[in-house]
Amino acid sequence: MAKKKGCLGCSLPVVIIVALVVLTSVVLGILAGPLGQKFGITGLPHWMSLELPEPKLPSDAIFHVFSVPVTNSMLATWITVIVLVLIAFFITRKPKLVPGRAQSAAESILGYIYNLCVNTAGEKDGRKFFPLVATIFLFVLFNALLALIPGFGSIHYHTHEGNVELLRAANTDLNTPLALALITFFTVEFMGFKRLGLGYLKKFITWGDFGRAIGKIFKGKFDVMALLSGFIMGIVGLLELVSELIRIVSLTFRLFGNMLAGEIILLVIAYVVPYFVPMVFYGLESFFAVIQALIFGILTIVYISLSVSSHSSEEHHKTA
Amino acid sequence: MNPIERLGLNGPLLISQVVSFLLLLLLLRLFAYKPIMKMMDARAAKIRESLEAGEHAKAEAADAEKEVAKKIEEASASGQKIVDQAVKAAEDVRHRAEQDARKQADAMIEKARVEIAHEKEEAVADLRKEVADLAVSVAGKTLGHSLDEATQKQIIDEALKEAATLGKT
Repeated sequence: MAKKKGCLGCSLPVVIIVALVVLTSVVLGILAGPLGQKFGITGLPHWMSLELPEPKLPSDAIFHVFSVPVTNSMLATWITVIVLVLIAFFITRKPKLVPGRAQSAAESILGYIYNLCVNTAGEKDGRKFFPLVATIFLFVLFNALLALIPGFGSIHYHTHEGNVELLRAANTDLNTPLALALITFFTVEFMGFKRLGLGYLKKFITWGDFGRAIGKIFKGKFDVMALLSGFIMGIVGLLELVSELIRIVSLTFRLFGNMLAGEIILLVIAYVVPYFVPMVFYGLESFFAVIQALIFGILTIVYISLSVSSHSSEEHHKTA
Repeated sequence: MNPIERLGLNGPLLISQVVSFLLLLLLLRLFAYKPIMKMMDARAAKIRESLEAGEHAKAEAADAEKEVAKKIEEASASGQKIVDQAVKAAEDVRHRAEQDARKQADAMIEKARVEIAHEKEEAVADLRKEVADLAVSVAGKTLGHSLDEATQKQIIDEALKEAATLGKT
């Protein structure tokens, strides 16, 4: 760890004190956690250890509006939306040609996403779909990062169903990833139909060769190879259709699984060693948040660019 | 609780998340993407413009440098010409001065020579006169004082005339 390497701009006594505090908290954490309890070290006060968390998949309703439940993950989503819009509003209130720090930061993030879109989907389409990709990236990222703020999951709220957390990371509620995946899916299919018309369906209905081969049988020419390859082509189209639908599932569960797992890891680590060690995992989780947000955005633009390019040009693109 | 709800899926919640996302997309488009993209495009345009202007200025500077070099060459050529002219003029002046000096010297020499000749002539004439006087006086002494004044004068004049013709030959 960094504390053992050099002084990091601190004087030696400060480094030693920090190292001692860290070491003490790790040892105390181990003693107060389940390991210490297992070996009968029970002299430590009860408040120093945490209870084993019980993760559950559905989010909890905080209150109801006309019998529609408003859940803790919905609240978190709204906070994300408000925070993002406020940040955007204050940064771009007076955009300058020579940018300040905040504007530079925003520009470098958006510029990165923009270059990604343009490189994947070309100048025109990249520019067109950049808002969607950037919003997905920012939404997923801020949902995940917001959940890492201390106190986010530890504020509890009394409802008639019992004690529930007031806020819950939106990405760990299956509805949020599913909502994003559905938006991506419908955008992809819509753009495919819009660009290629009904020709978009050619990708999925590929029984033409098979039909021709059967037609030849009636003319008296029995070609086994043509029949077989036509049949395989037909199956390929079917697979294409299935993979299109599978994307919803894969997009949803990739994000959901990663985010829920991250949340659970943080809770479990905090249970096993309550002090200092969870910090390391917090760093890891903030890294994963960026990665998952980027993956979702990249996959969206890749799917869109695949669907708007016709089949022949796609093959051309691959050979090029 | 039906099985799908145990997974956490829930229609109203799903719709709410979709709406939240679309709202965010709309608002960010309005507040973030449009102004920032506009600004970035403007900056790109500005940078391109500046680069082009720089290129232009560079070309202009090169032109100017060429012009200056040409001017310097011209100036140097004309300077050389002027110097050559000056040298030639100086040469002329010197030459003329020399000639003048020589001419003057010659004139002076000539004048001196003329004067000398004149003085010599005068001296010769004087001498002749003296010699004539002396001769007459010697002759008078030898002949006695028989010669009167008028005759004496006449003899001297004749002798002088003779001497003048004599000196000329």
